Formats: sequence, structure tokens, C-alpha cells
Amino acid sequence: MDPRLPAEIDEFGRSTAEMLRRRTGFALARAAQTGAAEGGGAEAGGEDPRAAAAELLSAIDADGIDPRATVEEALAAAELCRAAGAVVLPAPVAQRLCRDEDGGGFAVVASLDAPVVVDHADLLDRVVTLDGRRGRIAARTPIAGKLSRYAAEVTVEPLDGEAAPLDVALWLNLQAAYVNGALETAVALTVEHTSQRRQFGKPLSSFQSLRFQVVEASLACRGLLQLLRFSLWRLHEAPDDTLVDALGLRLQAQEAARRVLAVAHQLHGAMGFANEHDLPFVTRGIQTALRLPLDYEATTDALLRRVDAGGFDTLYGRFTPGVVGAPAPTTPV
Amino acid sequence: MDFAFGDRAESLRARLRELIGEHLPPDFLSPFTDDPEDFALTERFCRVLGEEQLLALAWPREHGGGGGDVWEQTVVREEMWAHYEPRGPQYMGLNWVGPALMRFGTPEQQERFLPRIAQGEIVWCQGFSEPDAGSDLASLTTHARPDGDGWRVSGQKIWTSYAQMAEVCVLLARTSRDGRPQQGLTLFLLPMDRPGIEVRGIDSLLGAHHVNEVFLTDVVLEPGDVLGELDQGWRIVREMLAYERVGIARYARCDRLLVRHREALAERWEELPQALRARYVRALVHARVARLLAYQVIDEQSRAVVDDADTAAARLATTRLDQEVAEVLMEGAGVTALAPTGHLGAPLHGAVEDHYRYAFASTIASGTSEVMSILMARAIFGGNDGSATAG
Repeated sequence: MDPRLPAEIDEFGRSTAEMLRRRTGFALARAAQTGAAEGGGAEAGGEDPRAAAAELLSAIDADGIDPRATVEEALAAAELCRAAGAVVLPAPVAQRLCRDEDGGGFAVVASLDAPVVVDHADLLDRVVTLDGRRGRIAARTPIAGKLSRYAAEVTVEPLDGEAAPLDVALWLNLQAAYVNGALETAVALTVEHTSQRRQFGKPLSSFQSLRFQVVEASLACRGLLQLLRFSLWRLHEAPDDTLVDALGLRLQAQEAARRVLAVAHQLHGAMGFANEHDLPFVTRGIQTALRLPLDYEATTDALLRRVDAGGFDTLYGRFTPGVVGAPAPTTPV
Repeated sequence: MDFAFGDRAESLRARLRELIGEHLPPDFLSPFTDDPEDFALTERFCRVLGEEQLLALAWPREHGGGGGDVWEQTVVREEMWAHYEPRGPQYMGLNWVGPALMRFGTPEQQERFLPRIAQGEIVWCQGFSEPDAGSDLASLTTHARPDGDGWRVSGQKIWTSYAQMAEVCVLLARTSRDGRPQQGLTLFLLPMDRPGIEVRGIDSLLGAHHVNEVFLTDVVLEPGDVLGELDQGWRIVREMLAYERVGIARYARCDRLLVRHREALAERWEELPQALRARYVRALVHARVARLLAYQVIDEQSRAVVDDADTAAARLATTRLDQEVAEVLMEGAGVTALAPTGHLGAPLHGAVEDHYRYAFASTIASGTSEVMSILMARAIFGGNDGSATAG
């Protein structure tokens, strides 16, 4: 047992986060999101923020990471996503890292049968359902909403063959890593704001009720990070469970986001709405990751169905013992 | 990075489950019952563990331990708590009184107590809380005044588990009124057969004889009873509570209860409302998170780099899990959850309603959730907010 991130991957994550902070900070997130909000297009100001983000990812050699190969590479990919999430980098980072054997990125979708919404749809060619059914994006209708600058409603043509559960699980895990990075930033912004902002003659952080809310937000992030690393480790250790594990992780990410964003906005007060502050860029920037392909209730439902079918690994065996329909146990309930 | 326990620890887990299956009845829920056989059973089980060197597995060999690593000890904690702590009162001696003696005890105290703890021969109780000093432990008023070479102590302790059966009490008492409230406190190892000690049980939601009041009237304390340095008890208490806070593997019992209850529900699972089944699977995820947060702290402890915020986070997660699982199981059991322990209709031999009653104490015992939040906030924001908490 060694639950620690290997030192070299930890260092890679730290240096990547630092590099992204230094090279862009929230600048690209601002360019991307305010372009959508003002209707003028971020590109109007010059550089396409996604092209700039893609260049940054190339500078980090994101394409040199093969997250399917080993646990270590998967952990490195997750650290990269976490670092990108920390500045809400406007790029399909998880999608790019999860590129398929043809080198193309893909999106996980709920279904091939109805029009579905895909983030960064114009940069992607393929989609995969949770069950591994594959499809090609045939048509795109941009949404360009305030919470979904690069999302589009797409129609899909089915493709032959199935994607491996590992592909889908990895995609979900790396999306959770991006969300984790963004939420950690939201907590850090909240700690900073409540430490500096004074009301009633003292810092907000001296009020215990506010401190306790920050504790709740921090607790949610800490749990998410540990579960992320465990789920990545299990990709190779327990390949039959990868999808159930990934859905559990997604559930935790969605719960954490709900908690962290509520606390962060409440404690920032009105300043938290203003685009001069970084917080609204975090809030807008992770909405697609949180809601596509499955929102919280849909994630719970998907997890429940898979737990019923295959169980959930615990310290005391599988939660679903394959007894559905079996004779009643002798122990009265 | 590796979340596998490894062959040695897994063999140990298998052996412990074997011994539990062999020596404990399936309806064992606690040594705290009206039936003296339940307590006797824990004494016999401790002897079995002691014979196999499993009782003090993680202790250094020079103190009568098995020299196992922290992860083997984690396996022991998980299996014991998941199976209703069949070591009975011994877990306290093993988990934190023993380690505190190794660190702060005199050679005489170590020689006198450690081998007996390792063999499961001595029951301890903890005399910390008082009627007016709970979370604000430093405000305690039990006073040990100098008397000859030693002291005489008077006061009242409360919520004291095992006091009715304990041989020795780790007593926190005020020996000086100088300085801050945290200063001037001393820990004593008080034999419970000294004249002037009266124990009264408190009937409670938790079950029979679970907690007690301890009244001290002019009880003699000898110089050899002091643990650590005079007036420096607070520092030891902080360390002891840190041991205790991750010593109880609550997530393990929750995992086991969820799995057992799912097995017992069998096909009736399908009849539960979807919203309730969703709560079961969310609880499974939360149990995994609580377990991983505990492992993070155990790893930090093994490297002596403990982060207070991580410790508080692990405890907050695992104690809340207790309550979440209690609610889910009660809902899942429906009206049968109201059947008393031992009743044929009681789900899991009464374990569901037992867990529900007990879970109310999870966020209170050995540091309330509020104290944990204070400690975690202090670590997040830095500095001290002025509150005197035993963390």
C-alpha cells in the first residue's frame, strides 16, 4: 500500500500547473468566455483562445502521454487535466488525451440515437456511448451558450466496432480531474477572498460560520482527489470495474462541484458574479464537464444500473452478490 | 502508487475473518449488553488474538508487539471495527494508551503496563470529559491538589466508556491554575480500585452500560501515577486524540453493513424505491472516499508528516458516513428496523437499529465534528482563531 502520487508525477503536475498559471492564468478562459457572453466572439480580439490553449498543451507535450499504457501515464494525464482545470483552460484536454487509435479525440455521449450535445464538437470527429457503441459526428449545430461556449448539438452516424470500457472510463476520469483542478481553484479563491475582505471591522475568515463553509468545500475537493487517484489505479488493477469506478468518481465530482460552487459564490458575495473576478470563469468553465454526457441524476441512474448488473467492490466483497432472483436468505430481514 | 494491501496483510485479513467466524456468534454486536457473556466473550477472543501475536500486531517487538507494519494494523482495525470490536475495551489500550505509554511513559510504567496491554489483560478508561467540559476540554475543573509526595483529586468525569470494568483510568486533572487553560493539566494513570472512586452507569440511546459517570472524592494520586511531565498533559492529550481519530475504521463497518443488508434484501431490493436504491450506491461511493481519506492519513502517520487538515477531513468523512449509512439502512429495512435486537424479524440480527442508535455518537465522541471543522479551518487559513480545542 502506498497511496502517494509518485514524486516525479507530483512534480510534473506542479510544474505544469505553475507553467499554465504563468503563461495564461485565466486569460484564455476570459477570452473564450467573454467572447461568448458579449456575442462578439473571442477571436475578434485576435488570437483564438482554443488555438492558444492547444499550443500550450503541445508545449507541455500532452500528446506524448499515453494514458492507456500504464497507471503512471494515466496519473500524469490526470495531473495535466487537473492543472488545465485550475485555470479553466478552454480546450478539450481530456478528449485530446483520450485520443483513439486513429489519433482523434472523442466525446462520451449518452446515446447515439437522438441528437446529443457535445462540448468542443467542432474539434472532434467521434463519439462513444457508455456502453462502448461508436459513432461519427455527422452534423453540428452550435449552441454557444453562456455556460457552453463551444458546445454543439450533433447528429451521429453509428460506426462499427466497440470502444473498450477502458476508453470510456479513462475519459470520465480525466474529465473529473479537470473538474477537480477547477474546484481547487475555487476553494483557493474563496480562502483568499475571505481572508482579505473585511466586514464588521474584521476579515470574513474570522467568522466561524464562514470558516466552516470553506471546510466543507475543501473536504469535498480532498475526497474527490483521493478517489480520482484510486480510480486511475484501478483502471489496470480491476479492468472489469473501470466503468462503475468512473461513474462513482463522476458522482463525487458532481457532488463536490455543487458544494464548492455554492460555498464559493456565497462567500464571495456580489463580487463573485463580476467578470473582473476569476470565480465566474470557473463556474461557467466546468458546466459542460459536469453535465455532459450525464448530469448528476443521470450519473446516479447509470451507476445504479451498472451496480445492479455487476456489483461495486467494497472491503466486504461485491455489493450486488448476484442474488437477485435467488431464494430468500435464511436470515430474516 | 499502490492501493493493494499486499499478500501479508491480505493473509492476515483472511486469518482474522477465520478467527472471527470461529469464535464470535453472528449476532455479536457489542460487549455492552446486559448479558455478562458478551463481555466474557471479548476476553476469550482477546486471548485467542494474543496467542497468535495479533493483538498488538503493530507494536514494536520490545514492547510485546508483533512488529507488523501500519497497513497490517489497518487491516486489524478494519476487521475488528467491522465485526463490532470483539476486542471489547482492549482497542483503547492497543490503539492509543499503549502508544502514548511508549512515547511518554517511564520505564517502570512501560514495564508494568505494556506487556499486559499486548496480552489483552488490562481494561482502560479515559477520564477526560466533565459535565461542564466537553469540546472545551481545557476548562475542566477536576483538581489534583498537592498532598505529601503526591496529590489528592476530587471532581467528576462523565461519558466514560468502560469505567465500570476498567482497571486503570487515564485521568486528566488540573494541577496548576497558572497560565492559559491548556497549561497546568496533568495526566495520571489512576488505578480504579483506589478508595474514593464511584462509578454510575448512564442509561442511554447507545445501549446498556455504554457510558458512565465517575465521581472522585479525595482520591490519592502517587508520583508514579503521572504520565509524562507535570502540568504538560495537554500536549499528550492532543497526540492521543490524533491516534484515536483514525484508529476507528468506521468506513469498514459501513461497507460491511451495506453489503450484508443488500444480501439480506435479496430480490426485495428491486421493490425499493429507485430514489432509495440511489442512496445506497451513493453511500458506497462515500464509503470508498472515507476509506481513501483514512489511508492518506495513515500513510502520513507512518512517515511522521501528519497534516491536521487531512486528519480532520478523514474523520469528518467517516463519521458522517456512519450517519448516512444509518439513515439508508433504516429506510431500506422499513418497519422491520424497529424490531429489537434478538427479535426474529430484526434485520441483520438487530445490526441496523444498533447502527442507527450508535451513529448519533459518531460525530461527537473523541472530538465533535465542530471541533474537527475548527482544526481543519485553522489548517486551511493558518494561524489560530483563539479557540482552545484538543487538536
